[in-house]
Amino acid sequence: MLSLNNITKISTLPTTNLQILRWRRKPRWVPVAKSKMFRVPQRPVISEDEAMEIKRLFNNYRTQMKSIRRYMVEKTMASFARTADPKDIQRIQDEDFARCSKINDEWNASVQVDRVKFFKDTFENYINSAKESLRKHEELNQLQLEEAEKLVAEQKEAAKTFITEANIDEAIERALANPVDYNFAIDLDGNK
Amino acid sequence: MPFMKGRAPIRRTMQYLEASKLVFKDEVKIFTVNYNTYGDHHKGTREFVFWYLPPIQFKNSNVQICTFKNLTPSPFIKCYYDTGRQMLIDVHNRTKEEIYDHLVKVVGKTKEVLEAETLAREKKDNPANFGVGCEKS
Repeated sequence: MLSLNNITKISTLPTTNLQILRWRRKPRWVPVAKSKMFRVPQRPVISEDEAMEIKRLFNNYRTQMKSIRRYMVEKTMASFARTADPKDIQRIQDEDFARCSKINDEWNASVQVDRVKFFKDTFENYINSAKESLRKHEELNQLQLEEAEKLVAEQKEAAKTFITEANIDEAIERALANPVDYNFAIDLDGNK
Repeated sequence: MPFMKGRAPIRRTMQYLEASKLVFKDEVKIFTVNYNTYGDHHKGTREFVFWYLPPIQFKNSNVQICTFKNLTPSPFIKCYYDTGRQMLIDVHNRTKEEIYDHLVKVVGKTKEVLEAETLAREKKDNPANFGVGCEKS
């Protein structure tokens, strides 16, 4: 519906620089136009010097592109190439194994240093802890021996006051001669 | 629904399994890991077996992988080739990443070889491909 809004929109289209395309070229079944019937297109004339220069540049460019293309093809073919000869395959495998063995041997050597040190330290720790426990055991034994000796010494001292068959008569007489009176009271400090 | 089974069920996902960098060389047939279930110097190997062995076996389904536990004082890995050769790898006190990287260097296919193989496989799969390396010229 034609309204004021629509008219304003149409007027803002870029009509001045719009080129309507009818076709790209004349269809082959359409006859040649009268103005173009006897047209002989002019051959482009390039001077000899210019032609030689252009040719030289083109040759250089094509050589370089050819060389790049061949190099890339060769590189791609090399990655796909597989020898079927068993000797070759064996040789490649041997070389690869030798290379990997070398890397592995270096790794093993560094790990060996670690491992030997670890087991040596563990063994030394075992020996040291065994020695330590032995020493402690000895100390304990020594202490017990000293305790026992002390007890024996005390008892020896006490044995001097024991009443044996030899001095029983003397003891009885002494006891009879010195009666001890227990009929007394003591306070909290033990004084009579 | 029992699908998150086990201690770290991420190890069972396809993404995790296919992310393995280690593809054994064609000559490697048996891969053996000896380690203990106790001991600090076996910890790296234990973790390596827990985290990295499933993807390795996934990527190398034709290689026999064995683990031997509590037989050795020091952990080690042994690879057996089809030519009769063996490669002994000592892994005492090494972390799982160090072990993995070393294996990739020593018994794994290089990245270039893997890429070439992937390319060759793609070219062979698709019959529409033609050019260098394909069946059709």
